[in-house]
Amino acid sequence: MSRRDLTVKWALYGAAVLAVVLVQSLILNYIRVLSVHPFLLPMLVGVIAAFEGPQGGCTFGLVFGALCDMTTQAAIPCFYTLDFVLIAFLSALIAKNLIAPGFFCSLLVSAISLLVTQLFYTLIFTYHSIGSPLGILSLMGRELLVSMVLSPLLYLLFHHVYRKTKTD
Amino acid sequence: MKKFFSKNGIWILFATVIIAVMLCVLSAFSSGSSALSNVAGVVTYPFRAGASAVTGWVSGISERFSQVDALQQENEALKKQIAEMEEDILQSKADSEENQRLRTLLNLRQQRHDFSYESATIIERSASNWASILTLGKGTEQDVALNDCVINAEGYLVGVVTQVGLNWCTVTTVVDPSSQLGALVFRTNEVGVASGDLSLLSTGQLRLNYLSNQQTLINGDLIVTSGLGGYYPSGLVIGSVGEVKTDDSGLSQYAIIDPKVDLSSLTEVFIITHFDVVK
Repeated sequence: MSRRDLTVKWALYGAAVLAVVLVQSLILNYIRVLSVHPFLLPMLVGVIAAFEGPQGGCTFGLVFGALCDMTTQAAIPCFYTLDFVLIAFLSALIAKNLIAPGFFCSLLVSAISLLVTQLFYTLIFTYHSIGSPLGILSLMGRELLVSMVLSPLLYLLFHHVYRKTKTD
Repeated sequence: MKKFFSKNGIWILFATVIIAVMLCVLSAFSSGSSALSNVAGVVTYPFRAGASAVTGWVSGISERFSQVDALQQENEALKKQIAEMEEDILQSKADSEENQRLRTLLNLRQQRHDFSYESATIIERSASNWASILTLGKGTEQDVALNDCVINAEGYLVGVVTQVGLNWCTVTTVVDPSSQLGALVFRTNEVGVASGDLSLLSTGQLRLNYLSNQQTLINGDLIVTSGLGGYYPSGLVIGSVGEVKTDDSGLSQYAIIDPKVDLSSLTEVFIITHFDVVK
């Protein structure tokens, strides 16, 4: 792929990611189902990494994670940097070895992305003795359920970008 | 995968570790927020403020149409409440004058709070379901500092500033799982620690811990900040007792607090940038 094609591809991905971030902050943060709101950011990292493979996915995860850490406050200063790189790596591994990138692969990596993020939070909260196991499990289950409903939309969006920018 | 690791994977991993360490070090050695976070916050501030304004405008329009009847009823109730409060003000003026006379008689010195406020708009709410954090559109330019308390228009405690940049700051609300505040039961003067709890986060409640075994709390008891240590002003209303429970060990009790502030409908807050307790 030429440098120009690469730039266009990641510019389109960037625009799609920005659209998702805007939807998350302007709309989804205000919608509560089962006392949680959908959380799309880890899922979008997983879906992109499933399409783009380990190199592109992990690089995207690193950049997006660092940006999230600089603009939002999380449990630890480098939370999203570490989380999104791990998500990208696992998603690329699944797409390469388990299920070919597609709808079902996106569903699986979306679920795993959320679970990895939740496990990170669980580890940190357990270290600081915050929260009971029941409370943590309840939050994990509800967040997974509510967020996964929107996973097909993420797949459609990034699959569209992937197809538009794919060069054979 | 082997090709990925042999070619670029190691470099990506190396870059991840370097960036993660850098973020942690910058965060640890900065007083309000790291330089990178500050720059990122300043750059994204216009977009966040603009987006928040659009959201506010849209929700304002929809509220206008959907809540006319409710607003009329609320208006009537508030007029009645104002009349009652005006009566209370007159009474408390008289009480205050009597208090002053008695203090002078007993040679007691004055105890008062002097607050300086900075109003701020909420420009972002935390995307994560594991935290309750607000981003406000004021920062060090307006004398906002770490650990400043944030209250709503009625004076109820919203949270505490935990990160501050040039023109932005983040507030950890009272229901956030990492929130811990010295608290006092207004009626009995019992002290405790008001802290957020993950299992109560979704219901918007918090816990009052470290209660003595002889505690005499009742439902509805007002919980305020204790001001012990001098970090936060005393007397800021946190909430009221909803329920008193025994913890899993059966050895101690804790109370569930219903915060007075409704975080979901909050749009504007006030940051206490300076307070004095004169004894």
